[in-house]
Amino acid sequence: MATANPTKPKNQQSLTDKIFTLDFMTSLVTPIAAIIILIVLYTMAPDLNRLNLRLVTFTLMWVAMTSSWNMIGGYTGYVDFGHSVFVGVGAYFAGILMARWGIINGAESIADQREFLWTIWQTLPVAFIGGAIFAGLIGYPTLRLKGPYFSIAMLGVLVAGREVYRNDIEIGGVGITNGGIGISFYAPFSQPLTVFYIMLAIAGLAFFVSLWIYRVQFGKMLKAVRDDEVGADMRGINTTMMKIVIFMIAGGITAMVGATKGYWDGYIDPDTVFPPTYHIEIIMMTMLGGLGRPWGPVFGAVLFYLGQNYIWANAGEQHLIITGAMLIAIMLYLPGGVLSLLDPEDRGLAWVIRTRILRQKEKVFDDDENFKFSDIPESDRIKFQGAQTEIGNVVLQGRGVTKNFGGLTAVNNVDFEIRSGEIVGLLGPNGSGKTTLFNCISGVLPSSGGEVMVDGKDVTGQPPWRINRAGLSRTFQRLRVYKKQTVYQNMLLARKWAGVPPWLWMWIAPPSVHEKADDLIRFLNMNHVRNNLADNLSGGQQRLLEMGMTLMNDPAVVLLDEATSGVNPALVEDIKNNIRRLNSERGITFFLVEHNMSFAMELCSRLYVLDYGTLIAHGTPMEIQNNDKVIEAYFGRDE
Amino acid sequence: MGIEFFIQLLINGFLLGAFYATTALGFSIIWGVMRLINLAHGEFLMMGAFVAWFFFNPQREQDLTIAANTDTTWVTPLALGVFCIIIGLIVANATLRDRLDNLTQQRGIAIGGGLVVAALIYFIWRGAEFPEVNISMMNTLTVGLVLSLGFMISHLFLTKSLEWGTIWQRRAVGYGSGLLITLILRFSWESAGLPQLDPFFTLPILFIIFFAMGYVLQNGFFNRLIGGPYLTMLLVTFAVSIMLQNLGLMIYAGDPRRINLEYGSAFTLFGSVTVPPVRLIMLVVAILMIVGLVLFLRYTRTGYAIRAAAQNEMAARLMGIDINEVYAITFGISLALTAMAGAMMGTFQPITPVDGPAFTLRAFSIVALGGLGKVEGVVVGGIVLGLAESLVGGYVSTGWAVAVAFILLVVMLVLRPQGITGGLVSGEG
Repeated sequence: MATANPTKPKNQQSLTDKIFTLDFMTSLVTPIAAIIILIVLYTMAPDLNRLNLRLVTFTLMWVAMTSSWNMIGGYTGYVDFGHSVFVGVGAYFAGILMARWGIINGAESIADQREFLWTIWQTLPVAFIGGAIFAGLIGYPTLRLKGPYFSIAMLGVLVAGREVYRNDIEIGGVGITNGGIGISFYAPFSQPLTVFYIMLAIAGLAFFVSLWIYRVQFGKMLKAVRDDEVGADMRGINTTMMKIVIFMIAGGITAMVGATKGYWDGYIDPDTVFPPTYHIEIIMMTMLGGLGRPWGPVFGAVLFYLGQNYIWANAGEQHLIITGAMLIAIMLYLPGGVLSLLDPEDRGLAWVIRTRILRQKEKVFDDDENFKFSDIPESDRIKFQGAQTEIGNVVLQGRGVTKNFGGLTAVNNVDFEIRSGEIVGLLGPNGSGKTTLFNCISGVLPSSGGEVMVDGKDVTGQPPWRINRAGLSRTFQRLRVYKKQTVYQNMLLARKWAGVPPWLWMWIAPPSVHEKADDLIRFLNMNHVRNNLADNLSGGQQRLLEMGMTLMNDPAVVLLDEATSGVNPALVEDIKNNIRRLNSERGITFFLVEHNMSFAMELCSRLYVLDYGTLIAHGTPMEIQNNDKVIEAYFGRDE
Repeated sequence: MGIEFFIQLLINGFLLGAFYATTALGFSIIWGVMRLINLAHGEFLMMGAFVAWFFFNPQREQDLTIAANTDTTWVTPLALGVFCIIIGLIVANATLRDRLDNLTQQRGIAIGGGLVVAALIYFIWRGAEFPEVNISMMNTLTVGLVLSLGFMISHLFLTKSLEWGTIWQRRAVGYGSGLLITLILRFSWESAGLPQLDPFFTLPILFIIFFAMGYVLQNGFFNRLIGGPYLTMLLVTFAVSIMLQNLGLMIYAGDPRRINLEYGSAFTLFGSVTVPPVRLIMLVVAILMIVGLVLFLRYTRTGYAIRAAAQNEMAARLMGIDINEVYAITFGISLALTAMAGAMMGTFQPITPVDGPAFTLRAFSIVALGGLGKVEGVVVGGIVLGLAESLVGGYVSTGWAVAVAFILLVVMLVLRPQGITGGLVSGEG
């Protein structure tokens, strides 16, 4: 079958094949639709009456704010409860530069002040840069908080920000924010049409930036941070920098919206530019449309803002009660937003067409019991070739690694040494500190003492992503694959870093990475599921995928933490074969923690045994089996 | 501006801190036990304050009306209907769950009941010669008190006597006696010409009303949020907070109100350092509340169960603890303590329905400062915050005093997320 119908590798397809695929065609739909909407709005704006123009401008403002919020709250999963602080910051940039700059520079009369005042066109870039810098300063400490702590900290930033502006910061004896009195702009005032065009541009910018980030590798990494931050760190993604960069982009765009709004209102004070409901309305709109999708905020903002206006017009003061009830209803009954009705897993338009219109089904491996090796097409199978690996130089070395938790010493002065080409096991009874040792080696936990060398480089005390780039990959006891991404995307996330400049890998995966991913997927017999969501794979397949992900970086050594836990016994054999093949054919070095004794004994050439955090034995499987201390540790002392 | 000023600030800060600790107790318990961050906390505080204010000023009953929207729009009946259906669902969820397994039936009863009540209210409202008929706060409160007393009696005092009758009989007795007690209270009150009730005397009434409310709310509504994604939790409680704020604005409008107690002039300690007597009473009540809570948690069976549930919910379940009951009681206690703190708040500062969010954030600050899930953490956090606000207000400006809580919060979260006294912090969020 395989020979009769040879499939071409992906990168050798001809140009027409490439263009007329469903994926490529559907990927054009969104930008074209967005551009058409922008052009229609642009051409019809001069004919709108004042009221409708105001309505459309406000809607665009919300689209811009929600799209930028979606980048941090939706893509990265850091739910920012105080995003409207950037609106206020941007508005104050406009207020200070466009109205108070003259006074601050010491001009007396209004005519003199005009000499100093800026125009909106000069202010907007400053607002973007200023907002981004402010976001960076705020984000650097707060983005390391997790979950609700970040949300509440940002809420605190919002309230504190309002009070700081109200208290009138003084520079050289002149208050620059004019406190609670506020700042009034001078004539000529803003023209509604000009404001509309600016808002249109900002909304378009926000949408396209968010769409672009969603599609490039950077967005996939942000998704990885959202789904599993520790895992992303361990795959060599510098999560701190990712979060700060996206927060700065989002903050900068929102600050531009704020500057435009200040200019539009012609008046600024702490209560009008830090409105008490904006921060929550932004979140509500995004939730209504669909969190983490580029179109979500757009749909949400349009539906919510127009709907709210309708309710407001009819319900007067009670409108906020109805809004609150709506929010509760959305959160409890439609947490994925309107778009999740069509596309529940955020797989994209091509997937919707395939499943909803063409009615294609994707194969789901939901259970180990239903999985058979005969499901794998013959073409994907690779024969075991059985070459022998040379034992080389030391790739991982630990000297006196120690970890204390308060008074408890979990890992006590452990020395070890792994040479390239080896498979080394780490054994020990429950609670003997095996996983803690692995966490110390890979930087997940800071070690209390000792040093770790990876491939000759001292990595003690480095963050996980740096250790990963130094050449150490690991898996975790709990599966850490990105369940909402396909197998192929998972492999790309764990890309090879060396030699690729950072400004490039953020956006485009170079061909070498695609080749590597293809190669590894074939090697692990997973080609038939390459476009399945990782969630739909069986437990054993997810283990294999995770192992494949660790190999994407060309690691010097791979740490496997309980590679067989929770895996069907039939697949244990398969995992063992894969480890052996990887070692013999690709020369990969393994250091593995195991509970399954026979697994470790068959696989490893050397074993270390830990008990109560101390290394009690070291040697070949044969020596370990006959070691008295080991027997005592496992079975207790023979009295 | 000498040493006396400084000591005065320290004393003020300490008293303020003790009060802040009481406002944050409820927030901390709910968070520690159920991992529920209740962003509507401040609104419950304000509700307590307003009920106490109402008891203090009964003659102003005429101010407190929900005016029917006389415009012929569809919104008022619709909003009323939705509101009554929600209340019906909450009550049905809390009361019928152990009687009716059929969810559809239960919801049908709730929606039907809600619609009937809404229709009744609407027709009374629009009826005949009352275009702006008032729903008297006195009557609303009476109904509330009947329900709460009946609830307390049937759930707390009659639970031991399961063999004595069915649940329904028990409840009938409970609500009947609640009605009786409330009617006696009401008639004696009205015959005495509606005297002022001192806020410190209304504390037990508040405890009963808000305990029952919290129990029912948790059982019928907040239960859905526990264990779910934190985004849902934060947004839903925030929505509740918006709704309560605007309900408060509809009833009370935005005017600041105050409970003016005349307990005589302030004591003079030495020099110019003075302490107002109201603040001293508040300190005593705060100490009683805190000590009472600690004793309750430490020495009663329910307290054991609450602590067990806080440490490991699954293990507590396996040990035969009815986790829903424990959560409901925790929520009830939390709301009761919060409302009591709210009642004391009106005695020294003006209250408006929109003051809540600032107190929610302050409570968060206090818990973050002191450490989650510990009563002593709340005390330490409250006093630190009170001292900081008082000193900044005295030496810098009162404007900055408001910002201090939030700046402290952010700094503390970043530098020492486990708080001053240490405590539980969920690392994975």
